[in-house]
Parts: sequence; structure tokens; C-alpha cells
Amino acid sequence: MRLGILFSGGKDSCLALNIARRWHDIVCLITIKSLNLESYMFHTPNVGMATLQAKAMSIPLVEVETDGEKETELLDLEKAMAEAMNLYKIQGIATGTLASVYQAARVQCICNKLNIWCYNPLWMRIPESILRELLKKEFKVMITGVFAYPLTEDYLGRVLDEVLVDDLVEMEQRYRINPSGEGGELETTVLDGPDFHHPLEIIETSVQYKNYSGTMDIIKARVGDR
Amino acid sequence: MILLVDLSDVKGSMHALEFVDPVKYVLDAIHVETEVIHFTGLSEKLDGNGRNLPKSIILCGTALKDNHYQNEISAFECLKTFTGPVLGICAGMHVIGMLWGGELVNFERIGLHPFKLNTNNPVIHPENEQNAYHLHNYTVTISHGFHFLAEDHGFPVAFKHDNMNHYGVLFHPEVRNRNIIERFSLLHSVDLES
Repeated sequence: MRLGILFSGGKDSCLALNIARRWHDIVCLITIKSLNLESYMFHTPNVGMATLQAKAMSIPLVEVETDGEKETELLDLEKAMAEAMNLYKIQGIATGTLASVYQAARVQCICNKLNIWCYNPLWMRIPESILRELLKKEFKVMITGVFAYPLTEDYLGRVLDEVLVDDLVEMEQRYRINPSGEGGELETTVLDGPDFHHPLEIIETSVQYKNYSGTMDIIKARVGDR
Repeated sequence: MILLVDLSDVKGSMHALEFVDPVKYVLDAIHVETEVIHFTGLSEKLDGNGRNLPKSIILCGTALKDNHYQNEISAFECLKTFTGPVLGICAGMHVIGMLWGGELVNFERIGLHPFKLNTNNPVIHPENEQNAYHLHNYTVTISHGFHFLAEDHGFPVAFKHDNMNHYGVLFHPEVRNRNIIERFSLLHSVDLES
């Protein structure tokens, strides 16, 4: 089946893509650039990296901008999916949704309306297992947003490794933080992985951080050489 | 062992990650042994001359757009004589209803929706369970030998066989209300209501 991936550039959508590839042809990525930093639907930090990620994976990108208002962003998502149906003849989409019924239900509603298949291959997965699978598959996942105690500024820019996964899992036990960031505790950007033909190189960043909340904005990056 | 039945259109499809595995995670967490099979292998599994028969069976849901199981109801005929507990989730509830003479009716629900409980039941009882995650375009009418446990605007949302521990829930308890699956796992062939 020809699938589009609802793609934010974070670890979950990249892993969903990797898993979906075992069954289906991934013919495009679909990215919503939300201007609303508080969006419940869409990952916002560094979603602009999707253009480079798509290039590094040699997969076409369908990108739609939204003002991020609660219901209009759903219309914009529907528009993007309809465009992907038109341009790339997708028969379904896959998402990296783990546990958010808010996100899952809204995407399912749009797919039902457009009469296309909807896949959520990470649905209800145990967060730690997601992180371990990313390591095993050698994804290069960088933390580019932190939004909860005790995530300090030091976590921004850290790349996922065994030590960091253990650290996040321990935080789950001590502070009830979802180690995969499903509760909005952290955001990630993927710089390399099994579906990347070329890695991404970060050239310039800017950090904003205050009171356990901050982002590392990627100002300049490029597709590197393998 | 609880047998988890994959109702998706094709054996080994990606739907199992979304509709079977999450049920398994709930049972894994309480150390209940499970085995997963595709529905096309159900008859053979239950006709194993009594060897390695499951204690209970859960018919898992499938994707909104996947209606293939509706044309394969004969594959589930063996459930009529299975006296152990059976739980049909969403498409699984459709199957149980259709197997016993019920008919599908259009009833679209996607997302969290409240429902009204009609009874106090050992598996589905009113404890923080008035909201459930739905993902369906149909429900199934109740047939002779079954009774309502819960409804949503007059449509069946949960039902049970009058004599056997055969249940159907239209919503997904593996997403919200996981304790329904946990309590179901404790049921035996003996009807708790008798």
C-alpha cells in the first residue's frame, strides 16, 4: 500500500516510518508547520528540519502551514492529507502517536472522512521500549525541547544513548515523567537513522531556557556526507 | 493462557501492532500468558482435541476501514461451543453479535465518549468507566440470548451472553479502562452471575 507518514521530524514519526516500511511503500512525508507553539496536535520545535530530513531520506515532502488554532489546524491537516492523496496517490497514512487519544481520534476522523487507511504502529507502546528500539536501530535522536521538572538546560542538545535512556526511565519512577515525552515533557529532532541516506549536520543553534522549559532552535543545518 | 485473536484482513498485517499488541501489553503487565493467532486459524486452534486449549479468548479490534471480518463470520462458528470466557472488542463485538444473529447498524464513534451502564457486572461495572475510547463505524444489534450491559443513545455498547461469559464491548478497553481486561482475565468457564 502507498502510505504517507504524518511527519514531525521527531523520534516517534521517524520510528513509525521505519516500522511502516516493513509492510508498505512510503511515498511521502506530510508535515504541518504550526505557528502555535502550544499546539496539542503538532510537534513544533524544529519542525522546519523536515525539509532536510526528507531530502536526507529521499522521500518527497508535503508541507502545509497552519496558524495552529484548535479546529482550523485540523482543516489544514485534512488539506495536507488530501494534497498527498492527489500528488502521491497515498491510500493511507501512518503516525507516530503513542497514547494521545486527542491526536489519534482527530487523525482517525480525517482518515475516515477521506476514506483512507490509518496506521498507528507505536500505539500504546511502553515508552521505554520505544527509546530502546531507537537505540538498537541506531537513530541519532537529539533533545531539542524540554518542558518539565527536572529537565534542565543541560539536556538540550543531548543525543539519545544508553545513559540518557536510563536517566529518563529513572525520572519516570521518581517524577512521573513520561520518558518518551508523550506528556509534552520533551521534544526531539532526528539527525540520522536507518532510513537516512545521509546524516544531518547542525551548524548553528540558539537556546532559549527558563524554569525547566526551553528549546534548542536549529538555525542552520545541512545534509552531510556518509 | 488467553488467546488473542487478530481480526485484521491479512494475517501478519501491521494492524496487529495497533489492535492486538496493546491488549497483550495489558495482560503482560499482570503476568498473564497469551498467544496470538489470526482469526483464520481459530477453528483449528479450538479443535486441538483438548490439547493446549485457551482458558479464555479475546477477539481484538481492527482498523476503521477494515471490514473484511464481516464476510468471514463462519470462521468464528467454533466460538458458539467454547464454554470459556470470550471478550469481543469493537470488531470482536460485531463478530459475537453477528454470530448469534445480530445485525450491523451504522454507528460512528471516534474518540472518547461517555456511555450509560445498565447493570452492575463483575467485568464491566461503574468505577470510573463512564468514558471510553471508541473507533468504529458500526455497532451490532443484540440478539436472543444476550443482554445489554451498557448503551449509548440506545445503541449497544457492551453486552453479555445470558448463560456464558461471552462479552462484547464496542469501545477499546486496552486504551481506556484497562481494568476491564484485567478483570476479564480472572473469569473462568463458570458464569459469575449464575
